[in-house]
Amino acid sequence: MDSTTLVHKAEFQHLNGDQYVNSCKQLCDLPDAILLRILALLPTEDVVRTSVLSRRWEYLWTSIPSLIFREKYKENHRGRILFRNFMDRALLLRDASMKAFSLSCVVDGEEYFDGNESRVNTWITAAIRHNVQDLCLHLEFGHHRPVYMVPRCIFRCGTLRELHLEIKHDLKLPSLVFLPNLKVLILVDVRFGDDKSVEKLLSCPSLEKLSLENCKWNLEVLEISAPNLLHLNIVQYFSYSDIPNSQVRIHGASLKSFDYYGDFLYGYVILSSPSSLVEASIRAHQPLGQRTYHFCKFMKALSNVKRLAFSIRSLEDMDEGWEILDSLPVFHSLTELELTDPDIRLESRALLLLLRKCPILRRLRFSGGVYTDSKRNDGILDPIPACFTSSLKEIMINCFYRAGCEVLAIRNLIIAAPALDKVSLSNSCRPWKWQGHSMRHSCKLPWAPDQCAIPSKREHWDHILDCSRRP
Amino acid sequence: MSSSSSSSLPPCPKKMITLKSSDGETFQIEETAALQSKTLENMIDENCASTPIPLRSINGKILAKVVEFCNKHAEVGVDAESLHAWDAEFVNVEYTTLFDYILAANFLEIPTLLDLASGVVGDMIKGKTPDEIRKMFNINDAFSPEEEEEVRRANQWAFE
Repeated sequence: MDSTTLVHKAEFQHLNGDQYVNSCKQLCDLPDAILLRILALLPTEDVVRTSVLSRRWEYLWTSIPSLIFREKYKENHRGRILFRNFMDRALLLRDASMKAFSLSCVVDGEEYFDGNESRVNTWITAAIRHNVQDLCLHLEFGHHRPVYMVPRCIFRCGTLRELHLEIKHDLKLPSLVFLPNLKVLILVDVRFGDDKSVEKLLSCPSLEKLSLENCKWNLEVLEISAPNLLHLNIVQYFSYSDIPNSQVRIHGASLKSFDYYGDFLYGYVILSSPSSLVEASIRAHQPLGQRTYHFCKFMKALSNVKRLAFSIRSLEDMDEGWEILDSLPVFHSLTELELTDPDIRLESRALLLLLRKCPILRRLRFSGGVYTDSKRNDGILDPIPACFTSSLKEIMINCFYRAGCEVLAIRNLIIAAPALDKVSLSNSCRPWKWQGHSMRHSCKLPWAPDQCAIPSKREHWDHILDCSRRP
Repeated sequence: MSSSSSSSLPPCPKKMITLKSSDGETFQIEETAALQSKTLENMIDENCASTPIPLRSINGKILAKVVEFCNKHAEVGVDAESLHAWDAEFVNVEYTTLFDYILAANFLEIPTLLDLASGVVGDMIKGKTPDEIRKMFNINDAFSPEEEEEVRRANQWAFE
């Protein structure tokens, strides 16, 4: 085939002729596929409003790849009716299959008519029947608190790749859970009962990313066996368990990163190959109390990580904090450490103890700032941790406001670390990775459609001190 | 543009391909830069890129810009921040030119350029009333007032 034929073929596939490009002056001259691509970048209301632009646009919105609907908070009665009628319309008019369906609304007792399935469930079922790939449901429950059952068909949807359920309700799973293509699973506020079906959901064969945020289950041992799991995020605070000393066992041979924020209510056992887990961020929600045992065991499982984000404050505030820090394993592979507490005092003993556990540290970040209350120039870190004299090349400090006590802390750090190449300073604060529900934002649903490929902005530093040419 | 064979670096001369616009202008582009286009990649794979490739649907003015975009995005060692600024400047053009970029990027299958230009058009539409959009983009096959009212009522939720 010569190039001319190939080009012709391509032209035909794309544009059905070549007159478009040369004479394009109107938005309406763009083919539907491109208009839909542009519409996919807009909020749903903006998309639907294009229906009145012209005849060409009247039904274009019904084919957008992702349907994202959010009932406005505390909608009045008229608003609720409009929303519900429009949901029906959007799904009735839908002809093409759907990439993503996201629904955030209140389920009320009124939803049920004579024991019929709720309207909300009919919408969800319609999405499943349109071969949805990404499903995101955030359901709240109104005054007449209904006995609500999530449609069973969700759990055997072969096309589903991402599932995000935020449901403050008991979730009864069907006996058959079959999601062969599920890669991302995010569960928020979901309460599971005491039957083992939850393990089937958490152990889908293709699962790569799992996030459990304030979920509850009543099992002595929860086994998660996901051979392809790469990222695990657990947020669990203000929670309680009916079963004391319950355990979560994670069989994840490929697990690369583990982020935890919570109370260490459960004992976590990570059964991955020791070299696979390279990244972790750990923060206790409050002083550990009786759960230090769980915490220490947990930290031992992380002794091979290369990057660690950690909060020392919860240990600092405890009487036995030193002992706990002292009993931590040596992190032989750790090259990057991020301390996430606000305003760390350089004299903090916890800081010194932790740094001594990191013999080959290269980068140290104080993401909530660092200061000293000493007027002296040296001897703050005593004895100086081994990594300071040998491997430490870079220090990064956020929340830096040029106060005297901050400048002095930097001076002391530079003096203590002869191998240091540079110190980067910024007055912007870096939010703790998992405070709030950040995993949601890192996923494509529904806040960041994958079509909008905005290049990620590089981190901005106000000052970079070059320490490499020190005399 | 093309590297000389006399210098020792790079070891092999850079492979160039030639593109020909609808109005007969020819443009040379390095093969590595051209690979950002799926359409061109396919032709290179099928050995159809040895002669000038006629792109009858893209005029010289637009093709020059597309080649410039591909070259910039193939440069090594450009940090994300400055590339972001360069991109913003690149799409700071009349919307008709923006549509030309979109169609060219769609035809040549260059996802970075297509997303960039579509994103700008999306931002122009965002938050605007239908009247403003019609005016901005010169849309004139509008409904009669009665028809428009009917469509609006059917989709009332989005207009509240």
